[in-house]
Amino acid sequence: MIIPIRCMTCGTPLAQYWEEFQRRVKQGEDPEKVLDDIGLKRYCCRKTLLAHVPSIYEVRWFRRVL
Amino acid sequence: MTEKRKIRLLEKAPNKLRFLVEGFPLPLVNAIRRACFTDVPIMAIDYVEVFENNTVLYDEIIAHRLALIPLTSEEALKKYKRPENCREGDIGDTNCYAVLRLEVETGPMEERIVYSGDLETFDPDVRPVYDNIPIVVMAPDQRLRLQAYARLGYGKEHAKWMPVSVAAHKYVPIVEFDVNKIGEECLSCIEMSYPWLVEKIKKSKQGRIEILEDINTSALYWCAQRKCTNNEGFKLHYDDKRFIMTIESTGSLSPKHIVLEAVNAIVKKAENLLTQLDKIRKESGEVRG
Ligand SMILES: [Zn+2]
Repeated sequence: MIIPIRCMTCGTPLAQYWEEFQRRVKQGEDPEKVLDDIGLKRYCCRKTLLAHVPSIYEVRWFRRVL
Repeated sequence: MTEKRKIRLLEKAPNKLRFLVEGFPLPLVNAIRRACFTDVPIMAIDYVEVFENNTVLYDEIIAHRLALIPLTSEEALKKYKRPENCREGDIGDTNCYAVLRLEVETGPMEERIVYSGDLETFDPDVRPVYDNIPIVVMAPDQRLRLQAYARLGYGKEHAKWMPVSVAAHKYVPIVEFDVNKIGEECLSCIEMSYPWLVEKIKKSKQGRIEILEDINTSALYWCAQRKCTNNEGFKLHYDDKRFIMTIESTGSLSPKHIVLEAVNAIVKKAENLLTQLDKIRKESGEVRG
């Protein structure tokens, strides 16, 4: 849905890296290299960024009635 | 204790600390490690009043996301009351709660992402550690207005109050080698995961290496157990008198501060135990007398 604020396994805050990660990967960089640059070593954190699908960009139109 | 107590710094980064401890018993080192998780208070949002929210995320999800945002707690530790003194405090109590506010609105053509930096804080000492954490993505014509209350809390209450993502200790791995006696199979096994170690071994021919680097030695252990058993040339053992401690902070407190607070928490508990024991002794003494 939206990027988790922390890694659900180890608790490291991750969301602050998301936009940098997304931008650089879209520009064609190797995700492995980007994750190394960011400094995420554990695979729990790496998979959280790597496998995330930001579907909130599609569902955000369905607003609730106040 | 007769052993000499020593602490040596191995690595220091803004959010990470590694040090070697020597002469401390394992239970004490482990107590400090566990106190880092459970007994060091930090600030986190605990109560959220939502006035208006028609974004796709429910109030509860937004409250949960807000709570997980690390808040700076270095100054707050001195300013705000400890959790045990705030049990009865209501949210208006400025000695217990720090107030943060979030007010965002999108126009008919506007889209935006709400960041942790958009949180308006009333106490400059309690603010998000990172300003670019996305809280919610908004479509046109949406509104989000809320007021959040942060307080000090312990990690044993909720994970959002844990100041560390990693607090660990391990024995110091020690490698003993003699290059003339190492089998080919053993060396190539080590080389697969630890090429730098093989380089060192080949260079110094014979000797002893303490592995103080921040690496995992499980593959090395596997090699030593399965591929290096038939010769005396390579041995891996662990020094169970010395520990490498690793503390990784979430950003709300510096790792050094976390360790100091953890030690304080243990000292307080030990003192409490002693006074309670004293009390019992006195009481039973009175009965006997
Ligand atoms: Zn992780």
